[in-house]
Amino acid sequence: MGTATGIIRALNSGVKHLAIKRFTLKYPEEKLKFVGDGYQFDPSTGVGIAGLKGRHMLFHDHCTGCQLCSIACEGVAEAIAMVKVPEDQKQNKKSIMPQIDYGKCVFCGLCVDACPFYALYMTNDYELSSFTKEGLIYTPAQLQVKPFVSQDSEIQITGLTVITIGSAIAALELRSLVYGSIALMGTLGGIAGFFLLLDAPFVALFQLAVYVGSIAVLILFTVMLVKRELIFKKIEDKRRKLAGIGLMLVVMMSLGAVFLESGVKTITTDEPAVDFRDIGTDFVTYYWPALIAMALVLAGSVTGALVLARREDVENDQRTS
Amino acid sequence: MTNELVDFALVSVALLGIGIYGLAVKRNFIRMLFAIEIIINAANLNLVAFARFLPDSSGQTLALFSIAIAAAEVAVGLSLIIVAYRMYQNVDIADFRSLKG
Amino acid sequence: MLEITSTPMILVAILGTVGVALPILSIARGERGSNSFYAVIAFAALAASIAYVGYQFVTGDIAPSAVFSDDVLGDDAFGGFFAIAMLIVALFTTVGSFNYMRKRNSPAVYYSLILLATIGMVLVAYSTDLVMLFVAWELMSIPTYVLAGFLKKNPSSNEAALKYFLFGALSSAIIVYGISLAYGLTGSTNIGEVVRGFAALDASLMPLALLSVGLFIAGFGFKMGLVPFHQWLPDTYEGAPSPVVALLAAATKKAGFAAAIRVVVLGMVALNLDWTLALGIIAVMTMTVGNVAAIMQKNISRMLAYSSIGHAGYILIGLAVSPHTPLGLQGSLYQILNHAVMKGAAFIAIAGIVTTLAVTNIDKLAGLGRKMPVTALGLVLSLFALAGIPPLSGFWSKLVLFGGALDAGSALWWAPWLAIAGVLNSALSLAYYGWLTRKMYFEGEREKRIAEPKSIMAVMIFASVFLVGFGIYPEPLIQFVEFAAPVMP
Repeated sequence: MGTATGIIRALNSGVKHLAIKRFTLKYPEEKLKFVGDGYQFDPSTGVGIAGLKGRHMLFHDHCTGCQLCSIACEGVAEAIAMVKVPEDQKQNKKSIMPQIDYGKCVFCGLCVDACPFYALYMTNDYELSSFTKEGLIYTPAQLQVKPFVSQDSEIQITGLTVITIGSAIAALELRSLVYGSIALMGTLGGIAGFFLLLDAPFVALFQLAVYVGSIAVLILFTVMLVKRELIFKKIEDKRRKLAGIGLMLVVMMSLGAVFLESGVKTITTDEPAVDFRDIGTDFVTYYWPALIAMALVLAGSVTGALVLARREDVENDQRTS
Repeated sequence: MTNELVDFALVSVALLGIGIYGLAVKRNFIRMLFAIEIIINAANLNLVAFARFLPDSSGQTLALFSIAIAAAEVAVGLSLIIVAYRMYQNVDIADFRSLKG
Repeated sequence: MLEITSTPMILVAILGTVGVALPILSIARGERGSNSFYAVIAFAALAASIAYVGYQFVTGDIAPSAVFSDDVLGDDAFGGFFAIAMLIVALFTTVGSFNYMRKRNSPAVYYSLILLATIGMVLVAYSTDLVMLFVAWELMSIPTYVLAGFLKKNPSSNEAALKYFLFGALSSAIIVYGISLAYGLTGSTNIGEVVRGFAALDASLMPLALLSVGLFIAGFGFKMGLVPFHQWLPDTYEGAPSPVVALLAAATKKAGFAAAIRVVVLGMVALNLDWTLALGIIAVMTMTVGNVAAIMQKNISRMLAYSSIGHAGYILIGLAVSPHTPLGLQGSLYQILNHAVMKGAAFIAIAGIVTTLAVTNIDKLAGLGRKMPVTALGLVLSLFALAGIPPLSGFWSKLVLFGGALDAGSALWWAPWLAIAGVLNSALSLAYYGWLTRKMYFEGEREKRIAEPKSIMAVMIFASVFLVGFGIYPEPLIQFVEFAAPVMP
């Protein structure tokens, strides 16, 4: 094997990796995606529920202090110690509960299998590092807390929110109208991202094609038609601006409070998203008169906009009558 | 779905607030058009979010209608401002003063 | 699925086809067609539509007002009633534009947009689904934005259109937001199901339902010209072409009320709220602001614009008392029909004055009664009908409205005050109507009679016959209104 073929083969193997999907994650920017809430064991049926074996979660109202988990750990990791807890649970006469030392735990899950009361299971939390050894020892009170496992989609929603709201503010506040309209494209694109996140790919594509593709471009062209000094012109009343900011905060606070206080707060769903073919069926069955009305809207707006935008002084010269 | 409905609803409320701020403060017609587009987008986001969490398809249908109609509206609005620009060489509606009030 | 032969779809077929065909026809004819050619086509389409709906009423081949339906459009008497009112105004506008549009550019598109806006209003009145309502609302609004700014060389027309556009676009954005909440809470866009869903709503979601209804009131209120949302209205009515203003004041406003009756009133009944007081306060504020501001105006379009705001207040009285007496909605519908004819005729009269004399300032109208006797007579009759002077038709509708308010007095202690406020406001409005009449008939030197546009005269004569005829013999109209008014659940 000559040097040349070696170089080519090396390059080839490198280039191949440009095309194929990466196997690793860019931790900590990207996190693992989980299915389910972690490893559990249902003692009534004797069936384990598959999932990641991460930090434990202890239910104080189920734990009887029977020490079976601690016994299961003996000879494996010796990580579980039974400690006194200050609270009085009816089913826990001795008031002892497990305390887990994650410096020793090997995450085998035998303690979860051993628990006959469904009081102990494992969660998706695998980020347990600490600066001290003592920090790795989790008391029953700490184990009671449901861990916050940041999921991929939550990172996405935060990013999208920042992009959308930031560029909405930029669209209104940037000094140049040109940059403002480009920022508006960012907002509209961000909304398309939200649509994707909400499993509405068809609406997202429509948003990109109609809003970002045509409306924003139309606005950009109009902005470029107007004189240069107007693009930067900005008459603003300081007092009105303050009043506007006040109004905005009132609207945000009051509506936000309404949403947060209402029952909407806890709504989540596990049901699959609707098939976008249903939308097409909707259009041609139930909503068909609306579709006709919309065709008339578009016809009216196109003829109207054409008549308004047409220059009559030019046209009159060409007229014969 | 791991996200909660309220996350999307709050983003939508924030966009609504920004849009109202823009309409209240700005007097440049094109900027006011931006603000209106932002409000319409906030409503669309709400619609699609509710449609996902119900789950039901008609919210997406309405969002599609709303996007298409917004396009028609923008076309008319921009042609109006082009007519105004030919008359005044300006796009600031605070400077249009042929009608009192 | 909706039948293709239902009344609204046939109206869409007639008006929509002609509306789309007119601009194409004008291109095919090399844009040389005269104004009257297109006007006649538009007139024929409108007359055919009105004949179709009227025929159904006469033969009784129409479902009684159902308000809810399982489809996007409800083919009922309520929609038919509004369709007739709006088609009459559209006819007025078309006829009134014969002279106004002479020697102006693109007449084909002008009449096409009038037809499209009309079909939009008719569909708003027939809508029983929020999506349909929204699309029809835009079909009504977008052509009228263009129509308001149709005089491209005229700065005030353009400014009127810009203001109208901004407020209109904001109102439709608000309506979409309201729809999104209503849909999210109930999972349906059909108004009937939304109202049923609201009635069975979880207590923790109630604030959102209230917010949704509030957004609807604000969104529709912009078009209706209710008081906190009325700022655009005088400017737009002053600047826009007068025949178009007739369409805006007499028809699009009524579409707002139709939508409000379908959505807001019924939605609030479902929410079981004490909302009547809020509507009553808005009604009193609206009519007072409108009438007081009207007194101070120097421009006749602006004066009528404020009077139009005042009339929105009267109509709102009926909505406010509607849960307690059937007379409430009947009075509102009666006033809506009358106001359509009166305001339509008044603005068409102004269009006639503008085309022949080119003045809108009230001081310059001195001696109009001798210069243009027919136009002046039509204008004065509509003004007195607006004020509610007895033998004219406007008197009876106000009687039913205020009677409804008194009737509701047993359930709502404050309802009779609405009637008192209404009567006081009518007296106030008589002051400026009377002042205008005195200017036209008792001031000025001996002016000579000048030629009046025939089309304007036709509208004036029709309106005068309508107002006087149904004023002396109101029985048929009252029956018509009783048939069309929906019964509150």
